[in-house]
Parts: sequence; structure tokens; C-alpha cells
Amino acid sequence: MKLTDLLTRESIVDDIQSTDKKGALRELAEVLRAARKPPAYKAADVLEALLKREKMGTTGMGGGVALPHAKVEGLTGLYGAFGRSRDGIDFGAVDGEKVHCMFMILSPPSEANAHLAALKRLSAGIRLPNMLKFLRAARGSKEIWDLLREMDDAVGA
Amino acid sequence: MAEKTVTIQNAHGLHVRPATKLADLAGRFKSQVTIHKDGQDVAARSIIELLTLAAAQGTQLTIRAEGPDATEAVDAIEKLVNSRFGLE
Repeated sequence: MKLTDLLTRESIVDDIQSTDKKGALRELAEVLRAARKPPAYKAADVLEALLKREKMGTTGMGGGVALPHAKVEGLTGLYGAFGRSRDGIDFGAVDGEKVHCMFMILSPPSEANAHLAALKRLSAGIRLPNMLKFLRAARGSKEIWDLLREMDDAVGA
Repeated sequence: MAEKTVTIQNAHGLHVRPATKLADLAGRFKSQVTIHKDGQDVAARSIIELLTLAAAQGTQLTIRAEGPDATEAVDAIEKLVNSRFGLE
């Protein structure tokens, strides 16, 4: 699954307003509802599932990136959203650094392999030279969208 | 050098939580530890690199270590994988 299929342009928040993890995750859960209107989607339940997952261990994997994710009953496919925080958010990341780029992934409980495939594509894109720097420096969601397309092109099928 | 091949047993494969545990464990050894899957080699101490393997349940991975504590590193990671990362 391409990143540009996992996400839409409308599910990119280029300037997360919240300064804490819970608030940032709430913004992402809500932008997905507004942008995609998944059937039976409740932002409050998604937020709760994301927070429950964070309690098991941070998804802040170092280098300023976090991959908050949750299994959500009732979804018919994978859904993603991207959020960028200019000041950075304390995610309790593995390297102790603040998180500037958040890729949220929601998957139906039965889609373990699709979830792994999405993680593969995201992580392969993230580790491209300077990609994180570009994501942080991008001016607006249009430029972030272009970078996601670039990640897709570089990673291949 | 030490080397062992293991099979991912978790129903959900090597997703973020197991990858985080594996990277953390690999980082505690002095040896350089790499994980191999179908000709792809990644650094075991990098969560991001481990996730690029997309190792689903049943996937065979080879753990390889080079350094003063290579055997200990490979044994510890084998144990972690075989314990299903303590997650199931």
C-alpha cells in the first residue's frame, strides 16, 4: 500500500497545535474523521486506543519520529494521518528526543500483514537520506504531500 | 562471529513493539548485530530498519553478530524471539 493511498492530503496536519502527546493524538484522530469519514468511526474511541497502545511502550522510535497506531474494530481498511509539530512533543521516545513527525496508522484487527506492509513502507521512506529534515522544513501540507509521493517513488512497489 | 536462524512466531509478526524490544536488547551488546531476511540485512539496534523487514508470522530471520560478546548477543536475541517477545 502506497503512503499516498494510506493517507490523503486532507489528513495531513502541518502545524499540530497541541504541546502534549494526548492533545496531538486527539488532533490526528479528529483530522482523520474530518478528512475520510470512515464508517462507524469515533475519534474519542480511537484516541483511547492510541493512548492505551502508548502505555504499553512509546511509539516514539527516535530521530524525532513517532508511529502512533491502534487496531480499530469496524474499519474496512488501513487509514493513516500525518502530523507535524514545530516545537516538538514529548513522546517519551526511545532516544529521549522530542517528536516532530507523527505518522498515525489505524488498522482493522484482522489486517496484521497489511499493518506490517504499511510499517515497512513508512520506515523505508523515513530512513531515506534527509527525509526527516525535509519533512520538518516543508512549507505547508502540499509540500509534505509531495514528500510522501517522493517516499513512495523511492521505495518502489 | 556467531549466527542463528529463528522463526517469528507472533501472530502479528515483527511489528513496532517487538521491533522496539529487539533493538533495545541488541543495543546492550558491544557486538555489531545484524538481522538477515531473504538477502536483506539490517542493523538490529535500529527500530526503523527492523520494520523494513515486514517479518510476518512464520518468517525466518538469521541473527548475526560480530564482536567480543557475539555469542551472548545471538543467544539473547534468539531467546527473545522464541519467547514471542514476551507479548503473547
